[in-house]
Amino acid sequence: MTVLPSTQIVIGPNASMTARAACILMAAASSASLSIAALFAIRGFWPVLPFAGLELAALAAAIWVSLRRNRYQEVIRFDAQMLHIECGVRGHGVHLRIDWPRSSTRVMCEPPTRLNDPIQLQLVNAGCAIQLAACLTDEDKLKLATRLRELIHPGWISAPSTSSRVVSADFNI
Amino acid sequence: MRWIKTTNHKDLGTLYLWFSFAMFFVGGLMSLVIRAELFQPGLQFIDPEFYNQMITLHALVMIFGGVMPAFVGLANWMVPMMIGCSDLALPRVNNWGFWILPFAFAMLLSTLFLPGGGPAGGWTLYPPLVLQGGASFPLTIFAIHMLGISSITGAINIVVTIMNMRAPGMTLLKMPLFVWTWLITAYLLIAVMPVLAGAVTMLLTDKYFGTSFFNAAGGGDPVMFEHIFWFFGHPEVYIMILPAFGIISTIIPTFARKQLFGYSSMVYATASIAFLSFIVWAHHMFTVGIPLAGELFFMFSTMLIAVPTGVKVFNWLATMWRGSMTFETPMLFAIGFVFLFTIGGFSGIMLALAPVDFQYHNSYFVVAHFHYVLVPGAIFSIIGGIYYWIPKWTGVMYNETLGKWHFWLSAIFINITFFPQHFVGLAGMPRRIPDYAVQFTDFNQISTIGAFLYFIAQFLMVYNFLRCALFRKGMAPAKAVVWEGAHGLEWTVPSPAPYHTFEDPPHVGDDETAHAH
Ligand code: HEM
Ligand SMILES: [Cu+2]
Repeated sequence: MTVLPSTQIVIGPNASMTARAACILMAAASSASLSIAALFAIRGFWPVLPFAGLELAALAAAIWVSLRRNRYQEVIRFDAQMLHIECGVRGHGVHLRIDWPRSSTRVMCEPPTRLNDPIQLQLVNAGCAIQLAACLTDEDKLKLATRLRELIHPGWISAPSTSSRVVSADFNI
Repeated sequence: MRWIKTTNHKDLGTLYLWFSFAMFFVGGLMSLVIRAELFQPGLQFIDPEFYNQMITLHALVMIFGGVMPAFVGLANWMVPMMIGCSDLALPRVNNWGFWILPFAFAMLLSTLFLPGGGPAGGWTLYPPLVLQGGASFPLTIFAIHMLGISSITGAINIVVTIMNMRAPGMTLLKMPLFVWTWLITAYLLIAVMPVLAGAVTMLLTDKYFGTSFFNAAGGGDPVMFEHIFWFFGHPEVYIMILPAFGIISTIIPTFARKQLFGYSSMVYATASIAFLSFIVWAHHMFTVGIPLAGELFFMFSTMLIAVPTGVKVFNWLATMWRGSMTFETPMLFAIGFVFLFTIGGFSGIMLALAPVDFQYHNSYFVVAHFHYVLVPGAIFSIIGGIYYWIPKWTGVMYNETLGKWHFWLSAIFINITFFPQHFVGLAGMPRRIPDYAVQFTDFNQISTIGAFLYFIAQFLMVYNFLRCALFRKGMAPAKAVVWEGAHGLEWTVPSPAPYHTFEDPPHVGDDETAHAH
């Protein structure tokens, strides 16, 4: 049996907005909204101002939540016998850790029961299932499923290719 | 239950579109009530109070219940697919944003059954007239607040999604134009919805809490309401047309089998239109008595909008120039849009001329103008967009023959409805009045007949879409790339997404083919 170097897949949302871009966006939105509201307030029509403030707060909250979700990651590490799954928010430690034998783990790419539901990608082992890659598009989930099947594939059937490369847009191996 | 709780962008897009169709139906019935009354001079069917309620509710329902939710629905469906992400940034907020709408409209429409009936001051809600409304007044304001919250949550969600969730490599200047126009639209919404909320709140406090923001007797200024309202209102009309530009810019290149001509100029034109929309508001108020310098400023700034709009129209024409064009239903609606929206644009330039607006103001010419940009403008783009994408959404093809019939009947009847209104308007028929001088009878009868026929013709579309959406059993599946000229991420997944199970492990040596998925 060949000994395989370990391979790692990292799945996470693609963050196309940096914190800097978020600040610029917030600054642009607030300067416009607040100057409009201030102009009205100066002329005595101040009730525009609290609504503008509330709304900017909502925008800031939305940006903050979205940036925080950028840091969510699922890491799947393969070695000769086992695969190790770790899920968590970067900087906040791992909140879920699973170690399964490769030979008994299966990739399930559940067909959606309804036309427009997203595809569900799961790893299943001895009756336990974990859903992965919810942040990926269906297309990327299919690609990832294919890749996972190659890697999980018991080592005695064929040696999986373990070269490090980018399989698709949203996840890296 | 799953429809109530769903956070899936496709489900919510579908819900938004169904809801907007229901509202188009309600608003359309109201317009038929109005047109029936205007079939003859004198009062036939309804009394003037009810007429006023009908025009007010027709406008509110069409704008906030029909056009805006339809565009949000299309954004829900297409923005994630076009930028390559799995859902909107805040799926649960998306769900709340939708479910506010049915409640808001239930409340707004229930005012019709109150003593004194529904709101009757026109959709512009000018005080002091609007303050004379009965029990419907506070409910209307409350409904408008709810609609505002819904629009804002939608706008925030779309902005954050587009900014943060684009696929790698999808730089801003590679985004499809529909995404661009929606990004700018969402920004407009964020900028002006607080203004509307503030304005209607001040109406409420003027009526119930003794403030005098707009009450001249208490030192307030009713004309300032008009300024504030139109500071919201003009960007609002662009909120209803920029996404339409995005849809047309998506459809035309597909059926001309050429790339969109002048992509970046399209983006800059959209941004300039959005910017200009903030400095033109008083063109709605030329006759109210603003200083001469103001008349001139707002006249010229308004006419300036014709420049970026012209850029867009010429870019569409240049895209079609020497393309190998075919004329499937979405393309017909897009070309109909380019022609008929431009007619509305021209009458808009006429209205922008301050001196002549003294004649046109408050006449049926205005009604003709804004219906040209709203119906064959905004609505044609929505319909065209649905014909274009419905094979993608449902996996089956609509009936092309019926679609073509639907286009031609709609295009003909819409002109029969609204073209004569230019003439009666120029001849002096005022808007918002249920009676008119006998010499306007002929044109009004033509207009009413056109409106009824237009309404009936829409059932071709209803049948066509219902078949795809609900009764598609036995229909032939659509091809993965439905339109051979189509590009973009949304077409890369077969329609609808396939059911893959991967039961068998890939075989030795099969690795390469497996990768190619
Ligand atoms: C074929 C469809 C439509 C017909 C036949 C129609 C007909 C009418 C009529 C007869 C009026 C009243 C004019 C008056 O007496 O002053 C009116 C007003 C109005 N309509 Fe439409 N309409 C249609 C579609 C739409 C759509 C799609 C929108 C908006 C998205 C819209 C927005 C308005 C507005 C804003 C007013 C002005 C209300 C006011 O004066 O406060 N209409 N329409
Ligand atoms: Cu305007």
